[in-house]
Amino acid sequence: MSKYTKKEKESSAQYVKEFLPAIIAYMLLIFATKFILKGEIGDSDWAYLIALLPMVPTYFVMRAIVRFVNRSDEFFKKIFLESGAVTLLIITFLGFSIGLVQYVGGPDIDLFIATTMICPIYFIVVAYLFRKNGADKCQ
Amino acid sequence: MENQLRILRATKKYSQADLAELLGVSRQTVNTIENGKYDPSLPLAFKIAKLFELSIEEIFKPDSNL
Repeated sequence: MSKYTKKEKESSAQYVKEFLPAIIAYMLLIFATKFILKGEIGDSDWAYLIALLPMVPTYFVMRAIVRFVNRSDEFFKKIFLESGAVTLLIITFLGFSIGLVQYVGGPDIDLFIATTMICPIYFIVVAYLFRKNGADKCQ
Repeated sequence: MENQLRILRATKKYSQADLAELLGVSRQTVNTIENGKYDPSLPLAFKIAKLFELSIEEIFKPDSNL
């Protein structure tokens, strides 16, 4: 017996189809822009535009995630929404903590690293809420 | 909220996956409703009632402390 319904399998396949090319393009552009910006063009007016290039596939990554959530059923939507709210609270808490520590001369943590933490924290919260709701113990 | 979903499913000999397919939801959703961890939306409750040819009140009962 399959663990997933036909609708879920179709939704997951669609998600992979949309997410995978976008994330691969993002990773390639991160390396490409870094390489390009090391050259002469890094000092020109084009630098800002080139630096923002990875944001184009990022839009498609976000679009794939939003479309996946929209295709999910009501229980999954509830979990995703709750996870988003809890993640926001954790990030805010950590952000304020880091800010207060920096105020007294603590280590200077890059904002880029701080925002990157959103993804792993979000997935941990999703997993926790699934366990809490007993959704991981299907019969 | 208490419900009779597990019993009703058993009488029809549906697995959680079968019921999930029929309702257009995930197996996890059926599981959490049966365990009383999640209360379905009104449209889903109507769908469940229609499937078992019962009224919502016959399937879902409010908690005794309400």
